[in-house]
Amino acid sequence: MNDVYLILLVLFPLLLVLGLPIYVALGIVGLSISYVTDAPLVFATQNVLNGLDKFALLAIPSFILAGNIMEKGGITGDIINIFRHAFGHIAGSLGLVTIFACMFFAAISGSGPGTVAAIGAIMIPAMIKYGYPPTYAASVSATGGTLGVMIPPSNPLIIYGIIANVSIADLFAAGMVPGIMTALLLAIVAYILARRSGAVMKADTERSEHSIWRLIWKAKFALFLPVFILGGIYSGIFTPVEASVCAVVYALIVSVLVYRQLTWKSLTEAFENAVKLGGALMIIVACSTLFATTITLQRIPQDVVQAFGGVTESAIVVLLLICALLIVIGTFMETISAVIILGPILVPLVKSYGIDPLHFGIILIVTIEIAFLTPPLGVNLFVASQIANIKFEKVALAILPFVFTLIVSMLIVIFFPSISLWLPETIRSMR
Amino acid sequence: MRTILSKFLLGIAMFGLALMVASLFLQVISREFRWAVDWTEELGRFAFISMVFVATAYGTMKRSHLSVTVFSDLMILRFGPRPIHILHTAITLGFAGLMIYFSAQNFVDGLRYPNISPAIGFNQNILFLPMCIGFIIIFLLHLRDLSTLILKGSLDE
Repeated sequence: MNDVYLILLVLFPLLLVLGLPIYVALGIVGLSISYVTDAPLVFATQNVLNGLDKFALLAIPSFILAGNIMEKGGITGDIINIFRHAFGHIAGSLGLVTIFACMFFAAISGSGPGTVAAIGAIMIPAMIKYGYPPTYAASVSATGGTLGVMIPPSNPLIIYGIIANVSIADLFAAGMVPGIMTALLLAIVAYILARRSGAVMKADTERSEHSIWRLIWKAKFALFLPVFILGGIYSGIFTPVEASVCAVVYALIVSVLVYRQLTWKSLTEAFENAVKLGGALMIIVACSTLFATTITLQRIPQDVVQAFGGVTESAIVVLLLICALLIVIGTFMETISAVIILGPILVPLVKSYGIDPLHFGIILIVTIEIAFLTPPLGVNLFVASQIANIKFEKVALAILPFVFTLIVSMLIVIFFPSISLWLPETIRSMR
Repeated sequence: MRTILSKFLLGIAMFGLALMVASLFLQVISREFRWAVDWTEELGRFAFISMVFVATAYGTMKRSHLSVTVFSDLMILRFGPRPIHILHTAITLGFAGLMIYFSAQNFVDGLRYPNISPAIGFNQNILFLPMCIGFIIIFLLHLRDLSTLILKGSLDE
């Protein structure tokens, strides 16, 4: 084993296991490989800076900011009211309401844990009040949050688009059908589980007196937002990056002028959250560029392709192996970090098997959705268990049927590429 | 002192983010109205890059950086927090030191051999300055943490 592999296979995992910030681990590995291969270290900082000098990255802090402004601006309540009105009269349907509300909020926020926090904060106490077991309430909310990264706009998809050199607009379109399909599967499972739980669940009596049309009209500004973002991108009015800043301006106008709930303090909090999370993610992206450059110069992806070539020639088997690996890694690594670290290695591998990188992007996202729900990291589980005030372990057990459903969804996306490829191809042909 | 620095860093990062959003929004508006504004993309990009390094320093202050804590939490249970935190701090200190040295070198070289942006006419090598300043703050924060760990034995939250 040469020095480069020693650094990648021993030093890098060691730094991660020690709990160092991921950007520090990536940076140290990049610097170490540069050092042992006699590459000038002064180029390392240039790589870090170049890593940030990609226009598409500007969309990520903007979408995070837009999601935060909408959450603080009171848009969530209106979305939930519509689904409660549509399904709430059926006993056992609040899980279904939660999944659909999460699906819609996901089309605004782009973040998994953000979706759990926004929808779960209203739906978990409501479900407990109507007799649903607290573990069920927490698990269904945590599961709904996974849709946040799949349904566009999705921050992991933006990162993947940059790494794989795939159109972000195409990726957003590709995520749409699998996202809705996954939401429907999860909603069915949520309803069946509620009915089989044995708990006595009452119908929702807090439904609004107004007709559903009036509720839809009241929520028109919230409902129009996904149409505004995606419609603007696909009609060519703006690019995905410009869509993200238009979403910020739209959210600001609606929160201040229509909902009138956004105070100066909550706006500052929204900016602080965006700065903290955006900064934490972007410095990982910056340092990963150094990491990716060094492993590319050392031809590591080509070695991985060769190694896999010796194992199997089947594209499906390779995809299944990658998914198994991603599920394992995703249990202890944050989603975007996993995409950033593994993307430069996996994309050349899947391309060598003739797999469309657009299709692989969606498989990657569906797979890491599962990681959102698996301990020990499982961020969505932590958020949901805190809101429901129950032990993390109990939610981790209650989530298993949903994890199984997501695995089924992952397999459907793997075996039927047209599910993800149909919409982007249709949109491209219409242009 | 810490509170003042924290508010200062947050203020600058928020300004950078707001500037980025404003300039890109102006880009959309100007295109629709056919105004000749060609500097918005560059301004947005430069504001974003500067914001990231300031936000990284702010994140260090708030201990909000992403890391894999599952195993280190187990090690803390086994060995106590002090040795693990000293190890983290010392390694990050070394990394920040290297980044300061090389980004400063790039900044100085960049002043001699400028890389001028086409629209604004801005020397893009100046962007090594916010990188250098960000890592200087990270270095100083970790230096303070290291001295606290050695003298007091634990970090304040």
